[in-house]
Amino acid sequence: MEERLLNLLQRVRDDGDEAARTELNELLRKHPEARTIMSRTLVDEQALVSHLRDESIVSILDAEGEVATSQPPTRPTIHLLTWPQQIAVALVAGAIVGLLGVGVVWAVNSPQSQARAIHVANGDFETYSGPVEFGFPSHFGRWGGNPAEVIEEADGNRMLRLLKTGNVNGDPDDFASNCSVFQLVELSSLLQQWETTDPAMQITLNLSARFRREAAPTDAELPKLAGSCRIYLFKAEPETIVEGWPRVVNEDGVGYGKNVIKLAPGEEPATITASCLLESDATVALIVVSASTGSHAAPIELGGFFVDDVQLTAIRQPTLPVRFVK
Amino acid sequence: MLPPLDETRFIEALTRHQPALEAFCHANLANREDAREVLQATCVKLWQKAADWDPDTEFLPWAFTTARFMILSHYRDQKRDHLVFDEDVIQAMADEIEGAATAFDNRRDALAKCMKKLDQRQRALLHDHYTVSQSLREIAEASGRSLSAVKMTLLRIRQQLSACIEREMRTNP
Repeated sequence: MEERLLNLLQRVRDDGDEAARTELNELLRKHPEARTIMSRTLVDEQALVSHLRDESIVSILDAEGEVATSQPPTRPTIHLLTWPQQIAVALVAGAIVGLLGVGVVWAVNSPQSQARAIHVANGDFETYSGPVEFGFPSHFGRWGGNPAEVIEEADGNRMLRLLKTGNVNGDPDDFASNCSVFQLVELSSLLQQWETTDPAMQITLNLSARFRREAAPTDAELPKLAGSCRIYLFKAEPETIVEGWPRVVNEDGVGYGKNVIKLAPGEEPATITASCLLESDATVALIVVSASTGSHAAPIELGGFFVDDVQLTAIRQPTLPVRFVK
Repeated sequence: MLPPLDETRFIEALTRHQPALEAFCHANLANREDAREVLQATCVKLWQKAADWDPDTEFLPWAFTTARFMILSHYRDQKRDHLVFDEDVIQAMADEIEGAATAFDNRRDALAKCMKKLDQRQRALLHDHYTVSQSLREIAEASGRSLSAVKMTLLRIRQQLSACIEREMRTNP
């Protein structure tokens, strides 16, 4: 019965087959069993779509750079214009506005930017050693995620070693492309200290981390291995984020930033920074450092991928140095 | 107008149960685009009627009643040949659909376990068809296989998933 129903449904959908449609409806009218099967089949089909959609959210977010490049870095960089450039901008804009006959424009000196470090618990990994808590961290100020450990080098420096890709929520042996370590950071104290609703000012969060890759036996299987740091901003409670990951990104996410680096085995360590604008309604930042294999597959050992010096900085600065007056 | 606390509970309930509501619409219409359209209209209607919901009662049965009304309204607006089921058939299926959609979260968890039993090619086919929305004909052309072979593969995967979900539901109801 199930096969017959699925075949008929497929024919109606694919070809608009009227005979198949009539037969399908007749079957459903006459056989209670057919109605039960069809109801479950369609609900399960939606469950399948929903499951695949969640998987693809992760894949899309993992895809290199596509979201990171959509961040608006141009607004902060306008602030960095030197005074001759500001005058040039003012002259050009003034000429345009003057030609239109609607007013004047001038450049103003930007007020000083303010930078403030936001505490990342054990961001340099110096106060802890051994395996990182497995699974998504449920509280602020704790690292947790896929298999990873804090190791100590000969010179005494400690750093995070990402060990194996896996699924952080659910069966760790399920297909995955990342080994990620997460920490939830509370933002309300920062938002209280800085007036975040002032439209003339904006706050940018910068997450930086240093990545290093050593040669490992699995290197040949990992041609696309890349490190990344990501910031997600949420208007949600930590429990909601933990329970809803990764679906919660769609539902409660209010900001996102990412940066990616590819390192060859043995290459010099490098620091990368991910940035995103801090929305005034964000209450929690989720920071993530990870290594991605670039393919959704069974879990794999990463060998020698290390992260150190994870820092989160908030920068408050004017939105634009140029103002127009009618 | 809802008091602020009730409004928060309403938003939470609507957000939490929206996937089950979408499944309910999909099971009635058997068409993803139509289901999304009706879901959207249902959410608007639920919001307008939010004051009628008693937060101390189950959200889903109340929401399904509204969704059913919106589905029937959609049926009457469409030409018959655009729809998969006849109106009397969806009314006959009402109880079964409501039962399956109420268990949506459990069925989705069961499906997640069952997906692990598929191999990479099977998962790729599901992804191409249901996420990328490629037609079976497009998938067949891209893979160099016949259309009937792709159809049969998809049918077998769905049967495999369906049997696995039922097993999981019996084991962990």
